[in-house]
Amino acid sequence: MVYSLRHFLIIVLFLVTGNNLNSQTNLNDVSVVVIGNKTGSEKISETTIKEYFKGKYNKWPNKKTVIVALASSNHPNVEWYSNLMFNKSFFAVKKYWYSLVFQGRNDPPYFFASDQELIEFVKLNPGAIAIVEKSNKVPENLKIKLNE
Amino acid sequence: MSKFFNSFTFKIWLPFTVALIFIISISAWYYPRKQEQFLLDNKRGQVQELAKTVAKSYELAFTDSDETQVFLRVKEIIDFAKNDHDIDYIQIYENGKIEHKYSKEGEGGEKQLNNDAYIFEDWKFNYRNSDGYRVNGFVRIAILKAGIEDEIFQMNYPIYMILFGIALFLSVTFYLLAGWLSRPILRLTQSTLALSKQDFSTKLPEYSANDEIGLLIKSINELKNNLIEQKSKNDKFVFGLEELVDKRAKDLRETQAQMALAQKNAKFGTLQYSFLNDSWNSSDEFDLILGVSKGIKKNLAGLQGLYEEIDEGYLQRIWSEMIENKQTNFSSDFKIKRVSDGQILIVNQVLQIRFEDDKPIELIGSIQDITDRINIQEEVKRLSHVATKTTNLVVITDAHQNIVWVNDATVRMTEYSRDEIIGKTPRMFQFDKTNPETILKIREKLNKGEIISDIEILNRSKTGKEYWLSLNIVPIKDDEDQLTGFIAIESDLTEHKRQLHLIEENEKNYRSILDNSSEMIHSLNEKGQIKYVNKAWLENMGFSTFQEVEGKAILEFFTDQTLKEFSVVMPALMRGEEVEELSCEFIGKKGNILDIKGRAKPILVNGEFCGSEAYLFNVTSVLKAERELINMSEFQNLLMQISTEYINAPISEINKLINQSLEDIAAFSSADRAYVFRYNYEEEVCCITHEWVARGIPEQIHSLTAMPFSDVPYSLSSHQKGDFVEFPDVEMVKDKRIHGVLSEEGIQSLISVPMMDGEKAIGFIGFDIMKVKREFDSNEKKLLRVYAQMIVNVFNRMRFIEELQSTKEALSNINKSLEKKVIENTKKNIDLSRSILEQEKLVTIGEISAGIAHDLNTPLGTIRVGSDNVSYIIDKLFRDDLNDFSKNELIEIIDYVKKNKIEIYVGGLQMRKEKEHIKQFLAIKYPGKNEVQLLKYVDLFVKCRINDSQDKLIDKIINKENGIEYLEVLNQVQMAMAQLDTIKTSSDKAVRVVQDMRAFIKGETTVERKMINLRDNISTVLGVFNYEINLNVDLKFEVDESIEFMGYDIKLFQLWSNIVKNALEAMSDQEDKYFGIIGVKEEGQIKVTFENNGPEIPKEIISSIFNKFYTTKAKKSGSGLGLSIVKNVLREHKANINIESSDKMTKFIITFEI
Repeated sequence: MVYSLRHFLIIVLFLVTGNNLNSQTNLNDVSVVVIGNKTGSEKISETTIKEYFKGKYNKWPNKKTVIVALASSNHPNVEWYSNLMFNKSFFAVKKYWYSLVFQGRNDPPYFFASDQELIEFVKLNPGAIAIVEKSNKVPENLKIKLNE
Repeated sequence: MSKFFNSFTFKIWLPFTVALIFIISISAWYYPRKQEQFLLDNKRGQVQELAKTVAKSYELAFTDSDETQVFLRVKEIIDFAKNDHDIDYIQIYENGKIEHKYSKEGEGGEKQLNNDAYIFEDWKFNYRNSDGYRVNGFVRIAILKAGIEDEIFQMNYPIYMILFGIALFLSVTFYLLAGWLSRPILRLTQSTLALSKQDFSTKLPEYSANDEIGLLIKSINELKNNLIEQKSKNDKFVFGLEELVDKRAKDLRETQAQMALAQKNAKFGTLQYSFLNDSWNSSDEFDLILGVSKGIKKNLAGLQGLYEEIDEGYLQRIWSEMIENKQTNFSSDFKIKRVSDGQILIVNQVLQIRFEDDKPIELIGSIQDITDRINIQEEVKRLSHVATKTTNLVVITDAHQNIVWVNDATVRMTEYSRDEIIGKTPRMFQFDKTNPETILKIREKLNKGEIISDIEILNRSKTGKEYWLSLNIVPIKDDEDQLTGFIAIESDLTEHKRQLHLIEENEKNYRSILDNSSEMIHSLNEKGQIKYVNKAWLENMGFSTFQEVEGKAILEFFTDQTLKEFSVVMPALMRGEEVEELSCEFIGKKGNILDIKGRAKPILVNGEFCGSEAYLFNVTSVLKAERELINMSEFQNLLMQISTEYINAPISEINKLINQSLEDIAAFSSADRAYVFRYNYEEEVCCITHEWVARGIPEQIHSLTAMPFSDVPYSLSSHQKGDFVEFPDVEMVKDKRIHGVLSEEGIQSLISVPMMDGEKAIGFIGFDIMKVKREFDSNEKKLLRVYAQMIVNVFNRMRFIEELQSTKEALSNINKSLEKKVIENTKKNIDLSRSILEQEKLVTIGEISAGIAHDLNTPLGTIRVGSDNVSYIIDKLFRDDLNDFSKNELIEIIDYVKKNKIEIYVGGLQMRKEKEHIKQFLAIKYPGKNEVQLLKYVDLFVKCRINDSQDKLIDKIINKENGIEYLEVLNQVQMAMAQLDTIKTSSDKAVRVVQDMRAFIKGETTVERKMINLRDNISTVLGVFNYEINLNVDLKFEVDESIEFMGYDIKLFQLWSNIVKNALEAMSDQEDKYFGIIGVKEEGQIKVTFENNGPEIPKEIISSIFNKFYTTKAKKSGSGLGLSIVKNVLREHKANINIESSDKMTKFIITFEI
């Protein structure tokens, strides 16, 4: 039983990983937009912006502190956004960020239950970034264009 | 240090200290242990709580929907862990593996769990993952033990320090307390040790308590006293014994030595012969005296042989006689011949024979060589004779300087008896005046046993008489060269000293007089070289020490002139004559010339000329001051003369006078050219108006008629400030332009004085000095300024007169037109005579206005000059002259001057006459007086108007020490008084002129008859004409002051003024003018005669001149009304007029009936 369970898990893991690899999506192609407030990086590569979401950098090039805003467990798109940005489930994202905060390397991210809350938070906090659906009414100055 | 460690040997304090340290150590160990346990328990609880919190937050991170809050809580936990120093790491295990970890060291390697080093706490958790599986795990938090221990130490550190401090304090306290408690025992121990070493100086501690220590101290004290007493007795005994032994031994040694010495000194030998044994022995000295040979037999035969040899058996015979006569003693002096060298000696032989049963047993003899003593006694006898008879003082002392003998001369001189002197030292003759150095010197020499010769000393006799002695002291020594005494031979120097003292005093006094004399004294040898000069000589000549001039020929200090005169003086001195009136010039050290006066006398020795002495006075400054004084006085007199001349001179002669005064002032100033420059400010030029030049000096008056101001900027600016321009030495002038101009003209010195009219410089007076260089002193400058002011006044006067003359001309023109009008009006209305009269008055006023103006100007000018002079005189008196006079003398002078006023100016001829007269008077009365001085007196007496009738005053002044100065002050005060009188008179005159003028003008309506004084009335009119009369008319005014009559004063003014005016006009064309007014009262009549030496009035017109409008001066200023008015006035006064006219004299004789 244990054996079969272990094989099952490996298969699942393989499938998930393979799925993840396959589902590596270009953000420009999907109906989301990355928003940021006074980050000093109106144009930025997708890889880089993802690294910001992963807490690799604490400061923007303009020396402002990076504040990461994420969808909370109550957000309808939480898993979608987690998958887009981290290529992980929301549970894995939390574990990932718990590890960063527990080691004292980063300030904790902020979690919001809707796109509107995310937009409002970004609007009010310079240095903050988030991902929302394009269908939202987003001020142009908050939008971050991603390089091809 | 060792003492400190030794102190540990006494252990009383140690148990206390050890016990204390043990308690403190236990406390220091136990207390921190308990602390640590408590802290650890506490810390474990805290960590467990934290682990619980972390576990809970971890569960919530995956189960709670408010992720933001959960993550913020996690961050707070980690921040807390960072701040807590004790937490080393936190680990989260899931399923036995580390899932998350926090470490203080960052992301270091895995932590090795070492239970010894850490304390850690775990807390379990579980949650369901996203897949729904339950995850189990735990949180572990580890704390480092070391951190906690460190914390405990930090907490306990102050407690350790306090405990250590208490331990230290108590240890020291115990140590000191123990030391204090043990001190009496310690000291007792020390004292006991000292006593055991017989050191009784140590004092036992004072401890009166009746305890064990007290009793111990008491018993040791008693022991100490017993020991001291015993030791004292013992010491005394031993000391006495030692002393006795020493003394005996010493006495014995001394006795032996003295014996030997005595024998030796006394040349005393002993002999002992035993009859029984027939043997003898003798002392060494005995053998030595008799020259006993070593081989002599020591028996009777040997002894007899010896006696035979020395005195041919004489002694032996005496010896035999003594035995025969049973004589025991014998003593006698006699001569012997010494065996060894045959020398004859005088000896004293003493023999003593001891008998038993009439048989000689023993002979004891002594022999003493007294040859020297006998010889000395002989010598002393002879010397004693000399010493006794000599007039010198002879004193003999023993070795201790106690007098043992003095001669008669000493007794006489000292006035003490021999008994008083003998036994005392010569110090008895010395007293407080005796030179202590001499005494010391004598003492030193005597102590050394040296001979003293020719030391002089002052002694005093018994009665206090002081006397000088010359000491010669010889020490007396015996054969052993031991001092036995002194012999002093003293000669009396008192008279000699007195003479020397007198000579010294005289010499000193003489030298002091010479040195302190204010006279310059020099003494020359026969070659004319200086061998002495006094202080005054050196000071006057500018030398500081005599060595500078010693041996120099006096001729080196003579000027050429004095050298010539010396050729006369020197032979006279060599002939032995004294030269009384010596006047010469010396050249000082700095090359200055000194005027010297004095006398010289030769120094003759046995009639031979061997030098000279001169007693001189430096009169340089006196002569200089005299010359300056005379110069200044003459300068001042000259100015006075000039001022007087200016006052009195008519305007036509002013220019001449200025030129003359320039010459006079130039002579005093040594100037070769003197000139007056006027500044013309309108045209900005200056020109010479007056000049005087010496012979050979070119004139400039014609060339320098319009020098632009730009050529004389320096002079102009200086003069405008009222300053002098002065170049005492043109060569030193720095301004090249001025230097060039002045040098070109050969001017060596120059001075120019501004002429100030108030604040304005109207010109200047200059003096060019070409032959010498000259500098003007302040007095001279003051006088030059006075002179310049005189010139200004003169110029002002001239200008004023010129203005007056132009006014006069204008008035004359008015007059002419008035006359014309009058004539016209007269023709029209002859009844307007009254009006005409008024016009006539105006005419008269017009005609006399120039005179009135002059009469006002003259006194005013006089007042101005007079006040300047008075100011100058007062200044001079207070600066120079008054200081030398007492208050009484000054009062005397002012009283005299008040009583004897003088005129300012006396003519030269009169002055010369008076001088001659008083000179003769003084020459007769004071024949002995110095002629030069008498001349000064003559000059001053004449100036002061003192003549020979005042012989008492003259005598008093001449006998005064400062007679000349007295007269000078008197003269100055007289001059000042005279000037003040002149001022007073002038102001009166001015007032009078104004009054006369007023009276003349306003008289027509208030005419009333009243008593008229004839002289006063005429004087008023003369006052109006004063200017013209004084100018060139010889006036005779002889009207008796007592003549009075009733009349109309104003009308009489018209009467006199017309007659006077006519007379003056009549004489206007002639040089010698005479005008006389003679008034007499006789036989009920008053006769007034007006006479002049004008041209004769033709007889044919005499009868017409009193007619109205008749005039002989129609072409000039005559109106023809004057004598007509006269006629009317005469008629009103019932007076007559007669006219007598000849070519010599014209007389108008008016007769009033009274």
